[in-house]
Amino acid sequence: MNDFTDPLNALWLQQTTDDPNVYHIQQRAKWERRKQLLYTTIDILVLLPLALIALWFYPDMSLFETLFLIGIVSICAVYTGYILWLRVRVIAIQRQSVRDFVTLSISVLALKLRILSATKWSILTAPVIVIFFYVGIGVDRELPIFETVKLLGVALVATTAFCLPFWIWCKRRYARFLQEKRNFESLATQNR
Amino acid sequence: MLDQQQKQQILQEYAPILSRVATSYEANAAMAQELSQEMCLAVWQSLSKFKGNSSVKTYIYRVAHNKGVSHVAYHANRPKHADMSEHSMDIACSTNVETTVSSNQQIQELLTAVRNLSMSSRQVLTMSMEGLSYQEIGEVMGMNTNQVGVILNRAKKQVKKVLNYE
Repeated sequence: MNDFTDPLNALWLQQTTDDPNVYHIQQRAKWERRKQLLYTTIDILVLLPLALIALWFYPDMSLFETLFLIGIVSICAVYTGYILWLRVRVIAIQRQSVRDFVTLSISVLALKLRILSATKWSILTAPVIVIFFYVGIGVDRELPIFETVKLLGVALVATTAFCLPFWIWCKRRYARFLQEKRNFESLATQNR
Repeated sequence: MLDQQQKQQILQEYAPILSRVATSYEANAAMAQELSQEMCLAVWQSLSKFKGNSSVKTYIYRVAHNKGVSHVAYHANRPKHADMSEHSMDIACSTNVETTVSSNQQIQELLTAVRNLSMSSRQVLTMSMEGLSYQEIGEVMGMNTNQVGVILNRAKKQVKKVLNYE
């Protein structure tokens, strides 16, 4: 029970407080749940076009193209699984004790930074992969050099147009998470 | 598992506490109110997962303080807009204007002193002022009662010194 004789306690409890808008909170909780569901669905649906391309073109694909696509789909599936696991973990740690929460938040942010770092590198290596893929196709199907270069050029422009904004977004998120992690580390030293 | 009505009752009961907890993390009135709403939302969401392994009280405090810590970590490097004049620190049912002004000032001073404490001292002290026992504070913080006692005594001493209570 509270010791009302302690002047600090009495003063503390004199603060004016806000009444909660329970209806608004319920609505927001519903919205947040739908948002999480949407994010999870998007994460899974992103894999679908790749899988469909693989199934659609499978009969006409050479061994090189098949292996390449299997490799990309596998990496994306593992990445998606990891992101989904991380999302669940972030929600679960909110119910831990304060000390554990700070420690776990640091490790979650470290994981997020690792993912973003890997994503940044994969974006940077995307043009190299595109070059490797189209040169591979050119050699595999014995296409004329002009045809190969044309395909490669179009693919490189498309890749750069997609990758550049994505890379900037990753860089900004990385900087934000890094700062947040540093702040949590500073709080962890205060909680020791 | 708690039903909607039980969750509503719990939220109504703990909302004033969450509001006070929010002011210990955020000086800006508008942001403190926002944080208080975020805490209410986090508590509402977490109550669905409550399994009764601890008391509802310590469970709610854990969720609320974790939200507060996240808020500090997220906003620590953003420009501060602490405008204490915005803070409505009116005292309910007070008819004497002079007493109200004086009490307001004292509350402001207390809040400033609390916010100047280290994070763990701040958390332990506010929970103690809310009436939690050493055992309960330890459960929320993940500390033993001895550690809670040491931190609390040090924090109280520091705040009382600032407020000239000693």
